[in-house]
Order: sequence, then C-alpha cells, then structure tokens
Amino acid sequence: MSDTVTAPQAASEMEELVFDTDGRRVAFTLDEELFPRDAILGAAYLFLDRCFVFLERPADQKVQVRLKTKDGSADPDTLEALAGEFGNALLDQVVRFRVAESTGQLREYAFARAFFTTPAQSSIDQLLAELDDEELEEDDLEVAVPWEQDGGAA
Amino acid sequence: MTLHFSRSIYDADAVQQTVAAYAALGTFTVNVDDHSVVVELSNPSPDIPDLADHFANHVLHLSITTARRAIEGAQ
Repeated sequence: MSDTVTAPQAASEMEELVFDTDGRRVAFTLDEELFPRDAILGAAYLFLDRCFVFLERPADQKVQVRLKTKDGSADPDTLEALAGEFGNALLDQVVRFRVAESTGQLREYAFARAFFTTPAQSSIDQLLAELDDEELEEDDLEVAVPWEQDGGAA
Repeated sequence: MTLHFSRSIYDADAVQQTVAAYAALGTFTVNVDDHSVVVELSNPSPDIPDLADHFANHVLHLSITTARRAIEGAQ
C-alpha cells in the first residue's frame, strides 16, 4: 500500500512525502540533499519514545525511515498521522539546522566578546577608585564630621 | 532475526554497548564490515515482544547522543 501526504503550497511546485505502510510499519525515503542527516537524526530522536524507529541507507545520499507503532496499532490513519508528524518534526529540525548554520559565526563572536573582553575586575577597581576620590574631596559643609567633634553638645 | 545497521548512520560502539546491555535477553552475534554492523539475534526472550525493535531503538538513541556529545566536545 502506498500513500502520499501533500503539503499545501501556493506554487505549482509541490513537495511530497511518499510513504508505504505495511502492517504496523510506515516507511519513507528522504534525500540528504534536502534533509541534512543531522536533521533526520534530530527528528528520529524525538520519535524514539513514541514508536520504533529504524534508519536504513538504500542508496548514497538517501535515508529510509521506518516507523513502527509500539502499541500494536495497525490502523492506516494512525500510521499516516505518524508519517505526517515525522515530516513536520523533520521540517522543524531542518529550520533549526539552517539557522544554527547561518548564525554560528555570530554566536561565536558574541560568546568570545562576553568571555574574553574587559574583565569584570577592572570595573570593580574603577568603582573603588571613584569612592576613594570622593572620600578625598573636601567636605565644605563638614557633613562627614561627627556630631561630638563638631561641638554640637548642647 | 538479522539487523543491518548502516555505519554512516549508526555508531558501531553504540551497537556493541547495546549488545552488552541486552545480553541477558537473547543471543547476539555481531559482525562489522566497512559499511554496516550486522547483528544476528537468536533465542529472544519470550517475555519481551518486539525485542529487535527495542534493540534498534536503543542503538539509535546511543548513536545520536554519542554524536551530539562529540559535536559539543568539538565546540
């Protein structure tokens, strides 16, 4: 049995996830040029607690994903939904992968700036120096003179 | 039952670790070649249905976590 889940698109070009069902299993083949291996593994990881996942390499740059229900269900609708959810998770992982790739340099720069620029100690030293300067300044109003020394005893 | 784990997807050490973890549940024979790790499962425990599937899930889990640790270590 073979079915197709089609993502709605405005353009005439349509991406399709073609899958086969066999008893408790649903299987589909992914192209690594479209879906990086790390994205496929990321999506597979998310499904390990829900179903049995097996990955095969039928050809170079191809990964076959086989999902098998854990509860013994062989309902075609359940299998179709499982395949569709995997497809969604896969797209999510691809986006994460691409964002991580495109912002990698920026993140490295931000981390480097946070960890390896002006150390915090110098700003503390600067504050202490400012306090020392303030203490050395003249106290025209003699606010800092204790009351007893100021002859204020009535 | 025979399981073929592609070495471009699965980690060979993860297969070995899983064999060690599942040793009490059946007899596992492992053969490693350039492209795959082949595991022959015999005498599976009757108490655990889908033992081979559980085994494969465990191998995949270990393979992914190992790969992620390697990436994190390299950064």
